[in-house]
Amino acid sequence: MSDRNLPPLKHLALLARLDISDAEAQRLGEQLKGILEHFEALQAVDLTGVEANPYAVDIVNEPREDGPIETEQDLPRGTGILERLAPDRDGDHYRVPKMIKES
Amino acid sequence: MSDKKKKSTDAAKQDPAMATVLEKYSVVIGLEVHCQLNTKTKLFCDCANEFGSPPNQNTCPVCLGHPGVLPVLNKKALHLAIQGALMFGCEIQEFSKFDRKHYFYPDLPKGYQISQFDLPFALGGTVELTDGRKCGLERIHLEEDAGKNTHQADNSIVDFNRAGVPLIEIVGLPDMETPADAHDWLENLRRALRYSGVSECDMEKGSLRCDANVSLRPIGQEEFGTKVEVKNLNSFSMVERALIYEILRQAEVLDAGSTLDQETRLFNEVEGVTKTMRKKEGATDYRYLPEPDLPPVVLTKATIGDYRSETPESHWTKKARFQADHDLSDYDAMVLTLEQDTAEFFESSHALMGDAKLVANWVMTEVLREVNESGQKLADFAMTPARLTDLLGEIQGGKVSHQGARKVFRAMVEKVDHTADALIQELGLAQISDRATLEPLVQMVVDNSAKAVKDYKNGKMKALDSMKGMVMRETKGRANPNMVSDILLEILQGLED
Amino acid sequence: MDFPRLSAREMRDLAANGEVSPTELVQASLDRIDALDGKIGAFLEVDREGALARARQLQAERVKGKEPGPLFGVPIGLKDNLSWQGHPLTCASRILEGYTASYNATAVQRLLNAGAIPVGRCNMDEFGFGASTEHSAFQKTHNPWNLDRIPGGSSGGSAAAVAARMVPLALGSDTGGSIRQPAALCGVTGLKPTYGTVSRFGLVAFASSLDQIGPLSLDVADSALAYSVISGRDRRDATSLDHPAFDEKTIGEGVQGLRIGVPQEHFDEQVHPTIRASVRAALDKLVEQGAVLVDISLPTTHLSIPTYYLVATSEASSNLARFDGIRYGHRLGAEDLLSHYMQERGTGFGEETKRRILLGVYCLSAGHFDAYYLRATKMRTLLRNEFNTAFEKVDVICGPTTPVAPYRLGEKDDDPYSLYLCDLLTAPANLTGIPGLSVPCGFDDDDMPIGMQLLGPALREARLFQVAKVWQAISKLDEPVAREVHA
Repeated sequence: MSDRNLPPLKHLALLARLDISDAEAQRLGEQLKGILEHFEALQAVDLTGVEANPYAVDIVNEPREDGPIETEQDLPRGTGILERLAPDRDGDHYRVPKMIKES
Repeated sequence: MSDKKKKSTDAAKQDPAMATVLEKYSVVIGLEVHCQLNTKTKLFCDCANEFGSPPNQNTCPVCLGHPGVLPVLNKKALHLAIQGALMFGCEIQEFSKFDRKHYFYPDLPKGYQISQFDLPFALGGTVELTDGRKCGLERIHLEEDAGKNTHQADNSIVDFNRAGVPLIEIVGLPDMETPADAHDWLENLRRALRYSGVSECDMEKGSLRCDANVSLRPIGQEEFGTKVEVKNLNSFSMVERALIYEILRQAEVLDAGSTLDQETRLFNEVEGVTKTMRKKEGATDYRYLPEPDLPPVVLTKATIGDYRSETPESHWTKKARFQADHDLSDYDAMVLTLEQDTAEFFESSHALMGDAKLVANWVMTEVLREVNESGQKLADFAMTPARLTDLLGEIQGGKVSHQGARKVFRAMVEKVDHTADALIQELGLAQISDRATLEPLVQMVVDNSAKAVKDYKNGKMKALDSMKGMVMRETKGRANPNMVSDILLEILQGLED
Repeated sequence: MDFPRLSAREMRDLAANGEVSPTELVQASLDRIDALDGKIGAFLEVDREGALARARQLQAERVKGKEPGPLFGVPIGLKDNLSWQGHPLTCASRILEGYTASYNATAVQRLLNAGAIPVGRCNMDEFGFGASTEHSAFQKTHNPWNLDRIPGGSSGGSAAAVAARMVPLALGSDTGGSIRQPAALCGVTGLKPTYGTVSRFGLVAFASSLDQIGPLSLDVADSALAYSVISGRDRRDATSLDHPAFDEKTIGEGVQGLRIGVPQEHFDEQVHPTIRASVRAALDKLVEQGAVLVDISLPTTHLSIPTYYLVATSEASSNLARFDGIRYGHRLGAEDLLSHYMQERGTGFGEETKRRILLGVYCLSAGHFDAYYLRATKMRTLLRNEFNTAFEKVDVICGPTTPVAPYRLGEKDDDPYSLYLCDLLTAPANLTGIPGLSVPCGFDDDDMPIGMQLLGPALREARLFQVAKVWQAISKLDEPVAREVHA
């Protein structure tokens, strides 16, 4: 069994890009620890020889033709989408704040 | 060390700085390339896969990662990926799957890239260098491209046209030792992928991107040294320059007794140096997750066999075959097999006319020059193999001289519906190859060239040329020069009698 | 027209025959919403103008001779995680404020093609994370049978809308029980179809290998009808099965000789005694109709919760990575990119959502994948095998839908894991992909509804409907709607 101590919650929050207050970090940290303890029950199960199948259905990939997809509904295309939805834009580009460059 | 490896290393040692380094250290280079596939639509949606479109034109809710969308695999992308892998002799896997690779960046719409992690569709393989040495590949996998994030003064702007474009990532083993080899590796890889129609591999258009890994270790040490990754390499020569710089830099650090950071560095083209990239906190944890929205790709042995039989002849095989079958020189065979369509043009022409050397010559010079100058594709070129061999036939038949034929060639390019013969006549370039016409002319020149005749008899061969020249001038260059020489020699010999 | 008493089928037939117009049906629905939803809070948005306009359009087409579809004129509700073109799509979260759906989900498109008229978007737990609809960022939904109680979740709005007869039919989604559990708590019928039979294209993903869209309805026949409309292969969903739409004619009659598996783990002390007793009574009645009860064991049941939450939070953390306020959503005006991500997601997501994302990120992080996600996928194989073994001996499995009755709003705020336990009996169907149908079964001592769940082998919805139809006929649970919504 590997060491599964929870890393500092602020670190997890950074990985997940979630801003959380110190109070939230405290509370969530305790809750997560509690939940993970419940998960420990799975470690005791003998799973030797059991197949790990991550797929919900037993099907193989049937790729599509290299052209328009057979569709039942209209999907919008192109810059019209940007015009309608972009929270911030610069002409025909989506605009985002700059990364800070480390000095 | 094999002869060829030694030859390559010796070449590298031409540079004194590099020579010093190579006395002390073994260099190990491995390359990783990403190639965009020649599909009409993107990997997981039906937006156009087209370079140079206006920003954000080729986007839809799927490739923009709108809520609720799902990916559907492009069959052509899979086919091309498999074809590409077979060009390198990879083992195509019967079972492969997709995985999500998570990181946050504005050009990655879903916050994850759909890629292949532990079960890629192809393993192994080799890239053959020009001198025949084989460099190993670790694997090839399919993945989607990200959009393009451009930095401006106060912000960044994002164009998602490229997001979702199909890529194959080719991971080379750390098998190379010199930057020149790396350059050659890229050339050959590019050729193989262009041959199979898998990718254009155009670095300027972004259909080929390359990262290089390089490490140094003291000669004799078994354990590999610290590996440094170099990015932002936008041309083959930049790859070479960056590697040279990086090797010298690493040697300097090691000489001073310091250790190297295992890091990623960016090549700065202007300054010709590599610089540390913005450091991230620890190694990136991509939190790979088997892609639940895409069932695994299962290929039967029979299907893989079909792919194998459909794989086009590689440029390596074709070049060797041209040398053997058509008795062409190494250089000629190389030029003719640089591009798939050049090779095809040559072979189609040669099928119509037996003189391989003549055909090869004309394809390599006149045909390629015209095509390159006009910037068009060989397939669209006004001179087809049939028309070319038509002209070459006239040369062989003595109807026109080589020099005259060059003029006819250019005229044939412009006047697409004219035959060689018609243009020879029209341009007045018909070579005089009939003895009845030439003999009196040669006779006349001989009669009027007493001095030249005397010089010839005294052993001055140049006199022959001057008399021949006079005949050519008389005929405005249209006399068949070989025939003139023959007749001239006959007459002169006759005089001796 | 006694609108609250009409099933979707009956509404459709009346409209197709011309006895009632689509406009009248929509108006009746809107009138009920106006009268009741102030207290219930099932709808996040009611599109009065759009629904009436659509009703008029359907009417006009009918007059011109167009054949009425199988749901012609029927007003319906759509859970707010289903993409409905031109309408906001929030998943009851602030992070999607400002986003208007750019296309119709395939299931929504098929309902529209069938002539259905969506009247509004139904409330839910944010992104599907919850079993009470209390985790909506916008409003609470109240159980129409007792306004102090939760309606269940995450499709609580859809269940409440149907239970209060504001609409006869609504679409929900089910990842660990989110259709069946609120259906049970609200006394309506809810179906989670076999995974892959209903396209997920247009369903905002929670856990991609577990999610399915399904109908909530007043009776079994409506459930089967809705399922027949929305099911069938979709080229835009690579996980949709190569299977035609469900055919209602495949539903058999009666339960004579039908073997019903009774899993002991679904009747142990984790389940409230009143609920157990109610379901046992129902089973006895089915025996009177000719069914045969078979005791079975599903020993891995108690481990389905940690398995479910491992898979679900891992996939959820991944599916929610796209919400970053760059291509859609709102913009806070951060100064640098990292702050933008942190603040956008930190303020946009509610607490339960953040909890699940953090848990998922942890479980997928380097060094933990094998112990968590990979192990969970092996548990899924174990569960699948268990059900396969059981279905060799029985035709359907029957037990309670939920272990507890609807509790009071705000009662379970402190311990998140206790809320997770609500999924004990429903999550196994999601983990294994088999279909589950919850039907009203009785009432508890507080007069709150109890639901009974039928589980079947994959693609055997017909069998579930068969048993449920018999139960519905004999159960006399058709309580007058007046009992709900007290002043």
